[in-house]
Amino acid sequence: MPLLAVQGLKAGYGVGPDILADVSIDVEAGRTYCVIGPNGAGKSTLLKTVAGIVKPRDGVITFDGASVGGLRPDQILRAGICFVPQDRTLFPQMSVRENLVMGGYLIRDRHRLNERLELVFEMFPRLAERSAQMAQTMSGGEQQLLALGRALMIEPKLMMIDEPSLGLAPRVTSQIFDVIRSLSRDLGITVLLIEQNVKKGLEVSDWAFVLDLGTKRFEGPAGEILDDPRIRDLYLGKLADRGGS
Amino acid sequence: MALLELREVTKAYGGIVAVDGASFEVADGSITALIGPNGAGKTTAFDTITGIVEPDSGSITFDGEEITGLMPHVVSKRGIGRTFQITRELGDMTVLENMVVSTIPNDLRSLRGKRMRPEESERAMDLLGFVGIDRLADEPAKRLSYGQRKLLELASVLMRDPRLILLDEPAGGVNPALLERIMDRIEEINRSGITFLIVEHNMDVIMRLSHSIVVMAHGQVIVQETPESVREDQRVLDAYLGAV
Repeated sequence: MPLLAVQGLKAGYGVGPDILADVSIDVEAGRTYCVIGPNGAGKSTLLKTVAGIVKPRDGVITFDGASVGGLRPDQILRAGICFVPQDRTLFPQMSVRENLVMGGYLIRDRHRLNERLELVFEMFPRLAERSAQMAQTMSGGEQQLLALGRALMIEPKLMMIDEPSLGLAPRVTSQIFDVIRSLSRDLGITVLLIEQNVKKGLEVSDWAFVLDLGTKRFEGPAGEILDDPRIRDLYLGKLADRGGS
Repeated sequence: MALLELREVTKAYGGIVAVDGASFEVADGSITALIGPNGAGKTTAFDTITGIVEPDSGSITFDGEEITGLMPHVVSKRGIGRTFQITRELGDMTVLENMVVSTIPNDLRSLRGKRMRPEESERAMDLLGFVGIDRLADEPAKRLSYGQRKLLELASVLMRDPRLILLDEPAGGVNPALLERIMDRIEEINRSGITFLIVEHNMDVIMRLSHSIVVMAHGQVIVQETPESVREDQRVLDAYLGAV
């Protein structure tokens, strides 16, 4: 049974059109998945809907055997799904440590909270060095590390990461991707990733879902998906028959 | 002949060079598309043309005359029309009123006491008929669907008799049936001699409509070529997929 199963998912914003028209994906535990597709494909909306930030209009979301579609974000977090959004949403005027503690706000036991803190600091020595520093004074790469570290505080089963390299220099991007790779390899966390740099995102992933205009067009092994001729159609469009109307 | 020409246009925001020495041409009578991955600089390039943003360097000429750094309403008077989103305020006005408001350049005081002239409303009704939403003329604009709004935006830009129309995402969020009508109307307007420059993410729309495609990435123009060549150009695909 997949860890996350999304079936016939439909979602959109306000009274606007369906951004997700019909998305079905299965995510197996312990693997890293990359969602790719052109602008407006619905990639971020898919993650936001699974995270409970956007309410599904139709469809079923099952996580770890339980239905989570339509639950509040905090309930979904409690179920073990952590979402790291594009803008990172750190608490800018709090210290690194305070940000991490906030990430663990569901943990009632102080001892356990400290254990998680230690684990995150061990994984990211950079954060340990800067534990007293205010989040907003850190570099973009460090802030992304903090966002990932904060997500790790609740010991998630599934981490959904939206555009981790956004606004980062190439060298910093590589460091972030090393971290993402280690999430499943070393911690056994399942990862669902969106990345603007498609090639980079696929490099650290096992499997890819290809989204277009709110539906999943196809899927396949991350290392082979770019060889599919449909990729060119998707990113560069189909040539029109100019004889027609 | 080039109706619009950008030469080495550069615009930086702080340390980020949004448009970096971009040069391209929009041929008179063409539908030209401006495409590229997110952050390529398309919107900034657009804004330098309409006068919303003044370039740091480079030149923009329209119909052989320099328009670099002119104010938006001056650029509009020269014959470059751009669409405006229907804001909350405009949403309370009727569709017909929106059409007429669009002809009032930049000075809201001139709205005071203004009456709709019969020839204005007649022309507006004609254009609403042309895009197929004339039966909605007396409805508040906020009642329109997303696609109908796009059609209203297209009709209202025509009120100003532009020679060049800049469209920002005409297909965004529009359902397939209305999308077909929007594309059809754009082609029809173009046949009447009006030139288009279009930023659009829906590549099927781009490939169908455009005669020439300008591809931007990282603020620079990678190529300007036909849809057929763009489709086969590995540099373009790589720009969309990123580097390892």
